[in-house]
Amino acid sequence: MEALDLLAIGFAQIADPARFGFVLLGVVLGLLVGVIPGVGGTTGVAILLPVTVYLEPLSAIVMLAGIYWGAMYGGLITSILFAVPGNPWSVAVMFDGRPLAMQGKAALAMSAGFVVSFVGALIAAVLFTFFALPFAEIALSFGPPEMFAVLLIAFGTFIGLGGAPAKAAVMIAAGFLLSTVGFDVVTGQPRLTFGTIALMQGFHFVPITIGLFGLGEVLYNASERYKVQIEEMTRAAKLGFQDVLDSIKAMFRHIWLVVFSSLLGFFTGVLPGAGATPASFMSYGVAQKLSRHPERFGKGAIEGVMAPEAANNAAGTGSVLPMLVLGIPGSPTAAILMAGIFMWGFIPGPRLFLEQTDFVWGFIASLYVANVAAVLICLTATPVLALMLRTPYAVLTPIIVVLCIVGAFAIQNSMLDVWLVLIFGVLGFILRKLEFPLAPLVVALVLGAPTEQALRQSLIMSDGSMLIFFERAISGPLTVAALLLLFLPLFQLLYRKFRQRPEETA
Amino acid sequence: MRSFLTIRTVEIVVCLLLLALSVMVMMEGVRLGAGWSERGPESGFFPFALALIMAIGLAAAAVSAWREAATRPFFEASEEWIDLLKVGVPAGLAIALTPTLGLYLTSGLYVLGFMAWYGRFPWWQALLGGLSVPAGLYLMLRYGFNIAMPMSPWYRQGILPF
Repeated sequence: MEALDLLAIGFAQIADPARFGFVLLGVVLGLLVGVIPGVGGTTGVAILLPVTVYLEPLSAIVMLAGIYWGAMYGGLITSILFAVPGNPWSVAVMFDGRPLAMQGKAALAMSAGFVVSFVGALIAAVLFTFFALPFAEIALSFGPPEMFAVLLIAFGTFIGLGGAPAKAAVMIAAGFLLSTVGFDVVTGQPRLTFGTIALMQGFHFVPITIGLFGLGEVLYNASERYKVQIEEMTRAAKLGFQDVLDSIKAMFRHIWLVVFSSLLGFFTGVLPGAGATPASFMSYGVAQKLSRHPERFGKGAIEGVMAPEAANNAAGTGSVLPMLVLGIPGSPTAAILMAGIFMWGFIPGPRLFLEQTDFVWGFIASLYVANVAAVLICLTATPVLALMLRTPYAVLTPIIVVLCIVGAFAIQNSMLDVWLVLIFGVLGFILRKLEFPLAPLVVALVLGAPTEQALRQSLIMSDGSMLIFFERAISGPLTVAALLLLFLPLFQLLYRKFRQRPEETA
Repeated sequence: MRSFLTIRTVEIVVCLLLLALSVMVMMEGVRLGAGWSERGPESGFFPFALALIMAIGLAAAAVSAWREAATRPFFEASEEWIDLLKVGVPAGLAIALTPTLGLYLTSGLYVLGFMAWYGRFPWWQALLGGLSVPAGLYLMLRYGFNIAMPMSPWYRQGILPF
């Protein structure tokens, strides 16, 4: 099969010691970052992205992606041991992981989590390998109207399926607006610069992300610190061989749940706009519904640990697929990786897939390598990882802030970018407190330019008619689906209002 | 502090501020031309439309915030904003000082100061931190990746290497 041949090429690329080293470095960093509460995988990727410009592209992407995968594993350690999720996608595993820890079964819960994360990621990697080429070929026949339709689905997902549609809409519009500042692509006129020179270069994606997810997290955690004093909890967990065996046995007892969660996670991840976090919650809910003993969930059911962990790893892997093939990130972290691909001089999309086989398949091969490395490290070195939690807050916090400054400045040597980090850090804190979702903002910021370009190109093709989106075979149904998603909350609202009135008159 | 700063208040204020921003953008959009020419939307169309969508969403959020009872305080406990300021102000200062003092000096002072003041570490441990962090950064950025960072005034005068 062609995919397997290409995968072999990819493994050959990864076998280079330096690149292999970068995979491992990424995974270890990701594990550490995932373990430390307050610094999530997304944060780590965002802060280290600017530094990777100076690496060669394959090393850069496998390292950054390694951080993402490592964080998937590391986050569950703190969720289970200390009820402090290190990432948003590690929250669901807490529901049953924490009770298990209280029952003295922390080691079992963690090793089950690691093993299942590995299986989930592996299933997703295999699906990735075999879906990649067909996707790319379909994507080749994508013209601007199809691209626009898929992008519209991404935004529709946030609005239709996320909570708080009004706030999601505000964030999407804001992200789009931020992306339009600068020069108009078509006419060359400066837009939204309000006469200042500084704004003419537009807003770079990276300092905004570092501000929102880096500094914003630091501020948010500062305000939440009084609730959890982590330094006081110093129990380190040792994973014994027996625990690993028991967890593997537990996994095989629930193997269909694990496989199903992985599939659910993968397809959720592929869906633009929904990433590892919604996947983990969804699979927890589904696992509970499908279980023969749903009442055990929340009290230490091992399925409650396995389902979200399989799903979140699968979703994280899946979210990179549309990013590479179409240029549409399936999650905020994938969006940051995509920004990296642009920075390294590539353009994600079907042509990248078909022209830069070394890069793409080297990356796909790294999926397998990174996950094997991660699960081995986790199973053997959990006490060391848990020790990271002992790093005093007063040491960690200034280091994170300094890294934010470094990351922001490294992009284009501009102090303005560093100020952006501060501004968006504060803004991110406030928005988070007010429950405005940040992911749509980031995705809209990244996708703003391509969406506008796709729209304008489509309109040029159709001489100004909006009907082109509905007339074409692929974009037609996609556009309809996107519009349905976009208006779904409105329908739901009207439906509820309609149902209230007959009851009132009765 | 707790009683009058509710989530409802902050939400309404933020919505109104962002609403003002979106009105500004709409005006800019009109200035650039918010119409639809034969070749599709004019330059100002998208900013106008987006700002309009944003304004509608903000209005909806503001209205639903207005309707809810003002029960939830923005800061649930005084520790929240105290800790926030204790972390945020030094961070802000560090960012503000970076262009003048240079990254390495600022980060050293920041780590030293924060460890000593916030973390209540003994002076020699704070000093250790304040020296090792900039040293590590210097090695990584100067020799490892060769990325330029803001430097101190003494660097520009040739006295110090950082």
